[in-house]
Amino acid sequence: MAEHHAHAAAHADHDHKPHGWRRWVYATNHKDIGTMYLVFACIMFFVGGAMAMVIRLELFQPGMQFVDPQFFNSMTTMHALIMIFGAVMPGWTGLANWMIPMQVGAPDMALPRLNNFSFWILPFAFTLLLSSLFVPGGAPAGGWTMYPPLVLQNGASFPMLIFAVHLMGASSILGAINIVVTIMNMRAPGITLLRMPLFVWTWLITAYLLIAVMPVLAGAVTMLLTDHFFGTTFFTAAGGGDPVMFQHIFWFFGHPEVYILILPAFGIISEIIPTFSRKPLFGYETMVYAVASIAFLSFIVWAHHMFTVGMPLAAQLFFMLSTMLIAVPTGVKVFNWTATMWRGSLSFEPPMLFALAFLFLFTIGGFSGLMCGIVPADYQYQDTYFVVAHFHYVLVPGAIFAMMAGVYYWLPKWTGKMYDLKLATWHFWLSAIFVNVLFFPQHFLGLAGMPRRIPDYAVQFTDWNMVSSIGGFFFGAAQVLFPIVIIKCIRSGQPVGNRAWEGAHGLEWELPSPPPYHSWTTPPSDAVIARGAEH
Amino acid sequence: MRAQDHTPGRLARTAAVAAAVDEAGRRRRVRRSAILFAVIAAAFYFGFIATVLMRAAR
Repeated sequence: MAEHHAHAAAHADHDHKPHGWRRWVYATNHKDIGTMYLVFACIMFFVGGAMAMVIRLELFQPGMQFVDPQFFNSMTTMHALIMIFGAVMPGWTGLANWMIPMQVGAPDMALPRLNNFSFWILPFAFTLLLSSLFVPGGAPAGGWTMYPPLVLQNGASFPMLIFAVHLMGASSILGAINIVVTIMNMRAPGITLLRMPLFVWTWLITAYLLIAVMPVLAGAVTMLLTDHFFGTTFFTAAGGGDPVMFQHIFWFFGHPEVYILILPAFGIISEIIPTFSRKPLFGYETMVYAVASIAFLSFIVWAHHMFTVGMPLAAQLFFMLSTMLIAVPTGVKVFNWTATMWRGSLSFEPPMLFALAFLFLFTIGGFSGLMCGIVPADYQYQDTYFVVAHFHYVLVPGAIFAMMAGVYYWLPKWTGKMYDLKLATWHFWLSAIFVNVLFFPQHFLGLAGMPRRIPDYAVQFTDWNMVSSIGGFFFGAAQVLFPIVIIKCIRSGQPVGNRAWEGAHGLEWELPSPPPYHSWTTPPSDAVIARGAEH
Repeated sequence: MRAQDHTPGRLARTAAVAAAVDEAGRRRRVRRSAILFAVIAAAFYFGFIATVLMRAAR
């Protein structure tokens, strides 16, 4: 009898989770896979960050100090590849894995074993990429854009780069298919499309973008591979090919990729600002349409990355005007977030601080993007540090800050414990100050004509490079606080209730904190949906 | 002719059957949409290579 009761008690929490290494290697649970994605992204963030420190160390002074030019170029190339494909994209996928099933009332992702496969491809891909640092000729050094003919001059690292990019692409496509299928088929009854949280919406649109453009990148790098090893001349002018064609194909992937990196950030900001303003999101439906418009426009602006290769005036005008057009739905979003805060009962916990910094600093990155989109001005900015400043404003205080905001927002839900708010606030302020010290001077350097991707520079650029490097070192050091806050939370955080934040709405806050291993095994009732699914 | 089942368990059994049917339908929809998106991805992959080949052949 006692045995029966013990058995019943063991089943009461529905936690039939495997233990030890099998739990992670054979994982099919969306929370476990989400955790693995997030840990992987965090590791890659620090690996890519270490490479950024090497770059800033070398650029602290003019002249060659620490590394040779080949290694410097490897660092810029690997930093970009690791941060884009290893840190930001897996980070978003981790958040999607954790949150989408809980937010749509589904018990798990639609294809759990595919989910496991999507994740476990990544460590192999990045082991392969990082091991290219140790082969003859060094790691890839032709830039993350892999332009031929330069990339074809890479040594033994070339096939490793191509195979690694293929693996990353396969992981992203499989992950995206899983997310679309989950959102379209696994929503609880009553969660209509226009009742989904904005994070789910932005991920749905991101996943469509991924399915459309990652195969294009895979096609482009396959053609590079055959050019290198099988005698084709897709991009080799000597054989009748066209190197500029690669740039068109690459940026047909590359521009939507920018939105793949930033749309989930829009979703997270749209969750956090209403919570800490204690008001519903202003203009929910217009936000959805704005995200969809941005996604559509992202397919017809690619050539603004390559105005200087030479193209007909009509094409330049088309791509310039379509680029300007993206400012309209982006402006709608910024105004809606501002309107949400208007007369709200604001409080400034770490997720809200990161969200506010996102709002200001991403907008700076957006404006400098508009500047780069103006054809005659772009002829001045092309390949200078102005462009570096622009996309780092979009990706660091944009995508990375939003991801940190998301982690700080949902961490109490995941762990059932509240983290050290003071330490997280320190993390925010150090990050917010030094990210500007790091990247803002790069606008001045670019406008003064300092080219990007060089290990040495003319002496007149020294002062702002020193300032930028100092900002970089402090920004890098501040990031150590992030894992400290998380580990401290898991070990000794104070327990929280279901609704960790006073103003939080959404189905995930209807679950206990931490949520059971298998959540929503019974779909949420209409009452729970009505309570939770307000936006 | 079989007498109609009015036992209290009938509703529960009917609901279980309906849920199983619905679950089967959902599995079918999941499989179909996953295959559809995989085909779309493959079409983009081969489509772009074919586009470059056609352009080179001109």
